[in-house]
Amino acid sequence: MTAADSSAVLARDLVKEYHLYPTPGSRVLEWLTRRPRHRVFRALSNVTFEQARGEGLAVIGENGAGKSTLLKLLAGVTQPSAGSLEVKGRTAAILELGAGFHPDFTGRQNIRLTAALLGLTDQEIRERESEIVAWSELGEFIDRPVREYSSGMAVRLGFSIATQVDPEVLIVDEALSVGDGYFQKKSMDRMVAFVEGGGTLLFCSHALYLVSAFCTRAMWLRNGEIAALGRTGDVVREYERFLVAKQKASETRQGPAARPSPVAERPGTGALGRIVSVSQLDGAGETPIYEPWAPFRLEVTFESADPGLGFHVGALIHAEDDTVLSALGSRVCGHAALTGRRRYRIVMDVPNLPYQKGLYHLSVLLLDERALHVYDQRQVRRAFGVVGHHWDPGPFGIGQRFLDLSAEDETRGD
Amino acid sequence: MSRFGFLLRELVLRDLRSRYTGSAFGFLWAFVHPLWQLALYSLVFSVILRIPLVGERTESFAAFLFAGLLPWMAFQEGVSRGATAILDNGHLVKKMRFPSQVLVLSVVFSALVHSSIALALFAILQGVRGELDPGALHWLLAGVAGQLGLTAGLALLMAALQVYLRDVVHVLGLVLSALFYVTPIVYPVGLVPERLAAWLATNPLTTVVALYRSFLISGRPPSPVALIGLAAVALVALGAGLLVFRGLAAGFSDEL
Repeated sequence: MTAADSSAVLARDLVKEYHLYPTPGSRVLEWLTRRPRHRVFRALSNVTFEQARGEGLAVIGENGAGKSTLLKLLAGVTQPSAGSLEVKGRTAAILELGAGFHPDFTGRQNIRLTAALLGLTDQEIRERESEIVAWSELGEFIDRPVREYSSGMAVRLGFSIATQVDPEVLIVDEALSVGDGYFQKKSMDRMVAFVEGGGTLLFCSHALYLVSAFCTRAMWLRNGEIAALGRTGDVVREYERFLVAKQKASETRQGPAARPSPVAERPGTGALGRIVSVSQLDGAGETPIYEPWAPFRLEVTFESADPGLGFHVGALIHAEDDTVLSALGSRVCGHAALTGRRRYRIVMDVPNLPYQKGLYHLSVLLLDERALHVYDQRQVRRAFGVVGHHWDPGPFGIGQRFLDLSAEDETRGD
Repeated sequence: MSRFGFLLRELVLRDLRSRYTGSAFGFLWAFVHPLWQLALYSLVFSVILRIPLVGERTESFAAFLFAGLLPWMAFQEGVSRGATAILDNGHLVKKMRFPSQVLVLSVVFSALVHSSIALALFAILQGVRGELDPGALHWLLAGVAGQLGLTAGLALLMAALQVYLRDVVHVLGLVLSALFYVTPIVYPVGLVPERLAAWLATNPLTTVVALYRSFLISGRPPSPVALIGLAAVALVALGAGLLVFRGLAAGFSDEL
């Protein structure tokens, strides 16, 4: 088997240009006078890549970098201006969930309509309908008009239809950014299962932690060109470095911008798993104070709505300015997901707390079995303090020793 | 049924349904409208405005007018709604991959469904009045086929051009209102001076109307030349419409 046979996508020197006319009349004038009156906007230039079957490719980059244009080309809703593109296998694209919905029609009627637009036959729709309905969990709303749905419900139905058409290549554009936490978890699971089942996933998202979970490879697009292409970890790191450098540059120009805490970006509803208590076993009072290098143990109890669910627990320790200093996590420690019970009590143990004098914040996260989705989180401001006996300007102790150098002095004195 | 055929059927159903969902009588309105129109015509043209018909076998001007209006309304509705079908469904064309011709064709067929209901009701009435010519059913079918070809072809052409130039529907509006009067719908051909009648005969819709009337009001069927002319124009319109549409469709999502 040659490389071309095992590939799902082959793109060579893809270019996408848009012609922008200053006024609607200038198009007529151009046609009549045969003199160009448009401006060319180049959204993608010379994009070349090959994507193997059964792999996930993440497309990352800033807004306007060409991510959506590339996915539209892959989905076949727009044509390249130059270059060649081949997408092999049945393709389903989720560029916008519920794009084909008619608000006055019931969920069931919209399933038929959307599935027909995706290319399914009457027979195929009949076979899949009950599963689409079941997965969307809309209950009796399935027979109500879609205009009565919340946006989350419409999105759930849209995702359910798009993934039920058994695609070989699935193209997803930022679709997971909407919907409630429970649905996000469910759709993430479905996408992971899709890739594990041999599907080819082309996924574009700003959520870099999601990207790493689904995709073995990543492409960073910058101003319509490939800035990096390779293993997800490497590309994401390179992109993050670029973002940090860019932010620093803008901070020196405009002063520090409010940096969103990484935790705040992951909402949790607590409906499936709920943190009950967070306490520090080695400290007393509202804000326990520790000696440098003292033992630090964090006890977390949480409840599960369903014993079948799996959990990981994590914690982030922030400095006073909200910089994340350390991350603790049951998954990173190599533990299997906790499962099988309704109530859990776990203890995270840090034998020697490395911080120096200061106040520290804590966020505790209750995560799903892949440590991707956040079920619940609890933030404790000024969770603990560390006393200092000396003048310590840095946040960390690094456990230094000072050796007696007098012997060396003696050898030098000849 | 092919995937395309199934999608077309679903979209026609969507169009028909969307017009009647939320109303208590639902699809019944599709029957009420033509009957009401027919009742009004009968009242106006047999009681108030008595127009003599020259060279026609029926004496009822209302029947004559309605028989001519049936294909015209399907044509006019199909073309003018079809012309904006791509623009109106821009969100679909931009986000999903499917043969977008189906959006235009579904509007054309939806208009045909409505006119077929009116046609069936009117045919029953004419049968009762004894003016129907059942032996001319094949002429009616030929008329429907010709009308469908013209409507679909023109609608596809206009829909594709409309995406690039929004002035197209305005021009189309002017053309359609003129076309209505150069087709013998509100007047019998017998009233037209002979020199102009020859020009009138070159309008393919004249032949369509004549085919409808030969069945519904036992009118004179059109000449073989006119029939061949209609078939040729309908095929050329359909072919040109499909060809232009296919050529321009690749750029739709960039323009919407």
